[in-house]
Amino acid sequence: MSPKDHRDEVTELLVRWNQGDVAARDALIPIVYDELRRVAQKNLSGQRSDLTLQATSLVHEAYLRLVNHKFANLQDRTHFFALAAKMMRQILVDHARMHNAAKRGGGALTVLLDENSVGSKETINLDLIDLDAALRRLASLDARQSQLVELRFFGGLSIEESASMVNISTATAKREWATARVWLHHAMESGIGA
Amino acid sequence: MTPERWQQVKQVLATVLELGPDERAPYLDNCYAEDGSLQAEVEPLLDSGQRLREGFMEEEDLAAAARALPASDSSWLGHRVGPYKVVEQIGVGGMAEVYRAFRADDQYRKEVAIKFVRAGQFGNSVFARFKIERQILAGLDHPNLARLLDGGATEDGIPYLVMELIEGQLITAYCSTKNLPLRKRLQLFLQVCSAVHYAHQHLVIHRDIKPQNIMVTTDGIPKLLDFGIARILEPDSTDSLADLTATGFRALTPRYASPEQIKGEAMTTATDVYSLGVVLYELLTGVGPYEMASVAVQDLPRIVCEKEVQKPSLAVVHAGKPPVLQAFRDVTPEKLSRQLRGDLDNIVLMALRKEPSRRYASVKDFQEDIRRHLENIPVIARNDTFWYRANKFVVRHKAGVAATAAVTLILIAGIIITLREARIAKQRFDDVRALADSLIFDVHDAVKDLPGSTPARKIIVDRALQYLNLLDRESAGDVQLQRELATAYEKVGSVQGDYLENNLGDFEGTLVSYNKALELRKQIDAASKDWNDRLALAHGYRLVAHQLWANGDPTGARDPIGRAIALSDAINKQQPNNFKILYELGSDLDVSGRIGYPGDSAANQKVIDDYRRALSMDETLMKLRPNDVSTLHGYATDLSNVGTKLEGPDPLGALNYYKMSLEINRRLTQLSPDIRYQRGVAIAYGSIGSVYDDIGDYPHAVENNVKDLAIYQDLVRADPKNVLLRQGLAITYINTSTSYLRVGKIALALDDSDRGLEIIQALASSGPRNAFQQYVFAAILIARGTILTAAKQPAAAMTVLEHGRAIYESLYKVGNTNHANIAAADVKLGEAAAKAGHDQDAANYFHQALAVVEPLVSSAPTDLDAKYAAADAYSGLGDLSVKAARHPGLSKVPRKASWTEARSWYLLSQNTWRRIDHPNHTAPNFFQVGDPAVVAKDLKLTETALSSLH
Repeated sequence: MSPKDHRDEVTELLVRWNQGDVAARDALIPIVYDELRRVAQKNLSGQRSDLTLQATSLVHEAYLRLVNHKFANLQDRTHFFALAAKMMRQILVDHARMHNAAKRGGGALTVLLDENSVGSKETINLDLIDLDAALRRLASLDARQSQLVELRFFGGLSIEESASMVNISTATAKREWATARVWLHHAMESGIGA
Repeated sequence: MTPERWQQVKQVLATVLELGPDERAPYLDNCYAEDGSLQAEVEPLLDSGQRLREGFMEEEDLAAAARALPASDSSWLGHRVGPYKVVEQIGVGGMAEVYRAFRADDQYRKEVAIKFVRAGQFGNSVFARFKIERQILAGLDHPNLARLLDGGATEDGIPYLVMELIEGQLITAYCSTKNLPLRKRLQLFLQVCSAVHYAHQHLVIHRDIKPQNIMVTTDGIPKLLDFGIARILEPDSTDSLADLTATGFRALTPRYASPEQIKGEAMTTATDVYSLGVVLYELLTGVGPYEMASVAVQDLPRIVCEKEVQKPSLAVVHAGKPPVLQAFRDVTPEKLSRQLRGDLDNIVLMALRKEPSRRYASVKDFQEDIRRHLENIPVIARNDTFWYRANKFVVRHKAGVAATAAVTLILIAGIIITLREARIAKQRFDDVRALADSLIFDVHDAVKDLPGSTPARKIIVDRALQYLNLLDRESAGDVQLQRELATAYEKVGSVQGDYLENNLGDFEGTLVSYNKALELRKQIDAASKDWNDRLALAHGYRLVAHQLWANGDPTGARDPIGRAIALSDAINKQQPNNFKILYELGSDLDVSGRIGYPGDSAANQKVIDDYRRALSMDETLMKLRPNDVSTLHGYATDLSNVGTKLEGPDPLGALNYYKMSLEINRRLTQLSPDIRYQRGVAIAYGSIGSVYDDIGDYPHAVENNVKDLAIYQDLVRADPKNVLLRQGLAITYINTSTSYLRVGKIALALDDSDRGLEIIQALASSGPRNAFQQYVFAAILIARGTILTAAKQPAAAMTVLEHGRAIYESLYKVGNTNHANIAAADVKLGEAAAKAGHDQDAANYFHQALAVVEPLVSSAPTDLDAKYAAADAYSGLGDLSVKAARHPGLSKVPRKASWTEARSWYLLSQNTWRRIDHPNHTAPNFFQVGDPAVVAKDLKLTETALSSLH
């Protein structure tokens, strides 16, 4: 099936999901999952240039590939990302798990803080497996907050978009995000998830 | 930390983070003062927050995290899958990946295509179906089908299919690269059709035919791919209520989807015809039938379902040069248009008709027409007006339940046989003509060709059941699969219950299927909190109840229908004014009324109460959907039901209800051209007529029966081949003729009965005979005989009556009618014989009748036909005795004896009449019967005579 064919389907399903058709979401899952996996694979196998990846997250890329922009509106886009976020998380964590089974902190990596601080590289740790565990722990305390994190981090949604997805105000979302970051950082530092 | 605690901590944390550095300490001190324990929880967090780098978990982090993970290869490359080794990925779809592989142990290294089904999110249902589908697909072997070679599952349980690897090009690309002229394209297309037709004969539909699934090998042989794979992955919904969305893993390719696929309706072999039509359209013009490129996806469903397809000859001219040029290099659009005009236009458009029934009935017909064109013989496809049959039937949905996907194979049973709405109408046994109409069915050509003598439908049902039973074993714990199965069993049940050719339906089998569905529904309900599932359970109970009743066990039916009502009622209380729920509750009450309350002394009242409650549901439903045709139809039917129940005890009340039903039916005819509503109007007139008959208002009876007749005559004129309409007309003639008899218009009575007879005789000689038709035939003969007797032609009467009696006898022998009817025929024969002066024969007939019905009068108190026959037999004998008593030249003693005899007979008759609660002039079996008032008069006569003899 060519990507172009996919687009019409996906867009249509998105629209229907937006109108409340839960089954359309179910139908979307395999398609999006598939696409994300392929995109992730391509990235994970180092085929893509780093430059492009800085500009968009993997999910954005999958979105571009899958959805026909002309016809999907903001709502649909948000829905898509919510779904994709969940899946992205799954893909990445599974992948990390598979390839880093033995090592504690094996998902650590070196990244640039941002383009502006090219001069001062800082080594940081972001262990996806740990993060996933911490996030799950957070979910048991506060499901909505955990979902917000998932949407923002794995889905790449903005604060405003995530806020509307979980039905809270932007101001509340900002606070939720801020406190979540702290909590997760603390959780990961103290070694939740092993 | 508990969730509640976290909320408190979070609150503090959030505030702190927003405060300036100076304000933090005082704020915290304040908080800790109020709740000391907070400190231990907040401090560590704040502490960690100091070390929080700014980019932590911001956008770039994710990308970086992903990028930095070690590379991995594609899951399957280089791996062994069963005896195959995967080489390269050659394609990917939404739910499957295709790889090139070769058989590791094969010295020839023959290459194959392996397709992995990504089931991931769906659980067991896909796997379960997969295993079974494989067996079916492996049996398909045709030169134009990519063969399914093998299949299996990996150690992780991921199913895969091994197929013939096709190297070549997509058919559209092939045609344009090779610059094929129209003729050659058509020939290629014909080969594709062969493959599809072959599969249809094996009861497999493709459902996803599109150019991407048709490849042409380097040798120029077209191969159709992916046959049936779509079915494993995409169970389907057949619920066509507009507000219920299609469910299941629907990965339609909008460009090629047929209207019924988009609407989530049943898919048929005609669906494949449609898709083939789209492919042909593209092959002939280079563009799609709806100019998809410029269309917004949201508008797609509407466009495919409603927009007229542009003629190919016009499309090539309008499409503009580039698409056409790409497809046909040496031909100008104008030249191409000329070649397409006429036959090819018509052929393609016929395949693309919106209603499946108006397309080619089979792929074979499609092929044949194309061949005709190639051979310059006139084609069958014509312009619209020629072939349009206004045969749209609207299904009244008694489902009222959330649409659930049904297992695909069941759909074959449902689709190849196009069951019209009348099948559901058949459940209204109280209306004989509706019953007649329910015998309409269509058997698809492809299935008709199946070898062997077993009726095609039985094969399909048997296979469907095998399939379902296999799945049933694997369904425990999988609620979604159970839902699908339950729906599937229900569908099969309804197919089984249909009249199969000459026999009645397989009612026992239906009950088994419905019970299986019910079991599943119970399990689903126990596991699910969704009221839709509970409503489905109520529906399941109702199906079982109705079937038990149809199988002759109304007592057994009471328990399940009671449960259905209780469930629906409870749901209704929690969710009032919900259309689906009200609909279900109304249907439950309907069926409860129909089942009745056997053995209950207050039965009649309870039935009326049930119908009245159903009516109040209808009234609410009508407020929710004022002009909804199916709601109105339900209302009309329920009004009519109440009328039927009131007919005996309260004829004027019955009249009111029938008249209301008439009005609603009239409204329906204005809202919809569907002939079933015109029939509804006719039936209403007939019911009104029969009530007038009962209360003795014969002129009004005639007036209404005549109106009934007029409508039926129109219906038959509009559709003269329709067997069941003609049967209905014949029955109507019985009513009008007996009506005329009542008002003394013998000539008209004879005329109409003659016409009725003519129709039924024509039917009997031209088509297959079935029990129902025989029954109607007999009833007409008896009516005619009765009229002939009244017309003082007893000899003719007797011939006709004998014939009728013989038919009843043969029906009785196979259990299709009751014994009393034979006796009733005997009574008529006796009356005719008496008229002819053959008194001894007459007496014999009456006694013969009594031998059968006398015991029934006491042993079968609900058998009204028996009572009427007995009452008339007694009074017939009374009349004979009176005649004997009046014989001139008789001496006193024998005269007195005769009068005494007469008196005894009349007394017996009167007693029998008294056992009939609300005596009518027509018995349930259509026979015209006597009048207790006349018997009373006769009795008085004998008493007077006896007293004067003293």
